[in-house]
Amino acid sequence: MIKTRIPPQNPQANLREYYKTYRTFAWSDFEMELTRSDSGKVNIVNDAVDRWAAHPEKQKQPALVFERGGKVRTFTYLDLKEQSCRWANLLVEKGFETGDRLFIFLSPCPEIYLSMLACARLGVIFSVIFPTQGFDELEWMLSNAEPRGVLTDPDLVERLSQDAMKGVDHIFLTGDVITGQFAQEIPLAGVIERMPTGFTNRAFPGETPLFLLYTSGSTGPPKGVVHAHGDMLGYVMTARYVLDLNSDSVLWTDGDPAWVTGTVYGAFAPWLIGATSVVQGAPFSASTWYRTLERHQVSVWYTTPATLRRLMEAGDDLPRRYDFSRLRHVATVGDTLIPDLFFWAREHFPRAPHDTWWMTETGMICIANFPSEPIKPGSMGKPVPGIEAAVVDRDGNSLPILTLGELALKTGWPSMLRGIWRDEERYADYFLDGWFLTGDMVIKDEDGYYYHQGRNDDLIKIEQKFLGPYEIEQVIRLHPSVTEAAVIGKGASKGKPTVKAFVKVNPGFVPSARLSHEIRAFVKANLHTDIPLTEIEFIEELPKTRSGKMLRRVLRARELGLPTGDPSKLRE
Amino acid sequence: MMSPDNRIQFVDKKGVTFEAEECGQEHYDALKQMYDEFYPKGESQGLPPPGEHDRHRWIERLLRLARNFVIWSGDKVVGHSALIPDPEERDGEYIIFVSRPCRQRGLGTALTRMAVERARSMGLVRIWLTVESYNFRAIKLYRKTGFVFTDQGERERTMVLIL
Repeated sequence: MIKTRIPPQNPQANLREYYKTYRTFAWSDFEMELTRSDSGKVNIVNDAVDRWAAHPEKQKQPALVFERGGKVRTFTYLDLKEQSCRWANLLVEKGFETGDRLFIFLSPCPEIYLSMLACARLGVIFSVIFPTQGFDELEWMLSNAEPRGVLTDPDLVERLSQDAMKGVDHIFLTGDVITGQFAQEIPLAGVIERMPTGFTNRAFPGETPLFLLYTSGSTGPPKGVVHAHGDMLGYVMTARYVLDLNSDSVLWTDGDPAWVTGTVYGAFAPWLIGATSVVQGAPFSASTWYRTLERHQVSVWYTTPATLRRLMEAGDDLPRRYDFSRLRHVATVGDTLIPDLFFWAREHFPRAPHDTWWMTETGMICIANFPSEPIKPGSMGKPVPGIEAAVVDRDGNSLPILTLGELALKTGWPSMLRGIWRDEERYADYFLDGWFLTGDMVIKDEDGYYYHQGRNDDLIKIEQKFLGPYEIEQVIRLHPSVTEAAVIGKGASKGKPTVKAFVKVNPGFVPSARLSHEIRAFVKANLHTDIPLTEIEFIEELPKTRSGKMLRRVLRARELGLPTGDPSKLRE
Repeated sequence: MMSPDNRIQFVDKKGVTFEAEECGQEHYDALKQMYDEFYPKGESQGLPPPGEHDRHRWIERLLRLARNFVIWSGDKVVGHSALIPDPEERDGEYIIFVSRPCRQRGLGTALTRMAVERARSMGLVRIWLTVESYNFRAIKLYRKTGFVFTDQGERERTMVLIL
């Protein structure tokens, strides 16, 4: 497998002896650090905020540093406590109870984090929604979760479906403007400031839901992944061992809080360690990103390969103008950190980047490169302590090293999802004989390092979502010229996967280059601008079995010039 | 063809009673209703067809060419399977759909067993189907009823049951 090894970047990291720690690890070692009531109940905010706010020195430390448009708002641990208590009191005044849901549908702002904490205080399940969420998916989410309230801003109100909002009691608006689109709008300007700064947190069993995050799969509607207060055990361990956080660390996780990386490692994880979390609310630009690292003296940066690529494309001259001397650890998540990006980042930042792997459903980082261990460029790393991983075949049997198979994790780690909201069937689909099936294809090498091979050929990652042929085909079919469509993945072009569509047109339409262009533009406009649909082939009939089941594998085989299988099984 | 009096009754895992029977053209409207309400459409290798016209034509075709089996919940069809025989090959392609609220309750097993019995009575030597390789729930049903994989496909795989 990969022979290149980059020496450990920090042998003095929190996790110094990986193999010994992995073998002897027990979750109970971390449980002792966390606060429990006499009945064994917990509340994540007790440990993430309130215990620091009660400490005379610690309470003055910045907990959240939020920057947008060059303006910085800093919240100490005491500020975070007091402000989130105000929000909690508002929720109680408006009738929220434990188990109710609150949608947080905002452009980047500190109120997202304050309301998350407020919800956690009384056991309201928060769901942070991307401000760019599409109307149809948002409508589905609202119908699925039936939140008691939505926290949003006047500019986003029009994205809320009238039908789906009928059961919502409150629409909290940041600022002092009412749009008048809904009767239940409540402008919050001046309201929060009048609320008391004290609140007695409710205590819950660890399995009590904390948040609900929607994630798209390759088929069907979004899945509402449920995580619990008890997840915090995983947050603390990975914050300490993978991100190498200490109480004086300044962590910048450049991920939206609607993405699980932003929810966990942009908020709760650094706070549980007593560190400072930097949030940059501005849209990406290379200079903004470099300036953030410098201005806030970031010591740990958790970013994505996509961001590193954009920085690389912005040119090698820029990073030389900034001071990254405080940066002692860089980690990545989201896509595979390919060797090109790895070596570019290693050259331009004080430390080489450490790739990590996890997913919304796992709730915490599960596979990682550690600062005290050699890095193999292109590898996801090794399982974190407390996680047992395996490579399995389609029947669930364990495979030997250097064999492609599906990554599976032994169930029972504390941050594992607790359910799919109102869909027990989809939840059950994740598990097989005591293993959590990730859907990711990997190879494990002789040293125990894992390498990501993609989910399968046809899934395309757009931002933080995977889109499959089904979703793209659905949208193509909406074009008035299209009868049917089939989509296949075509592999990578310049490091980026592309897709090809095979389209059967309606009578009266003539296949042409112009029509191909129109359909591609239609897909970008109605699904996502980044959909890499680079090719459309017009076809008389799609290959199907006699029952009508479409066979994408035949199209892929034809595309590759390979045998297409038994023709007798195809429909005449 | 069974009359309503000849429907087989069975009790699912939750203690709810369903009725199963082989069906014909007279059940077109009931099948149409099931598939019009089916969600999500097109998820299973393009089936059931998302377009209404295509979907109704597909149902008509199955009723014409295949042996069809349905499960009733009251006066609604909630599960349907079809066996499309190929007399020359002496095999048949098998498909099955169960409405979402009624899954994980044994209906799929009941439908598949009915189809297998019919296949044997028709003198077929095997039944085959295609399934997406990550549809673990469907694969589990098929394996339980005796189907085995015949290939190592990446997206869709073929399973066969030797009769």
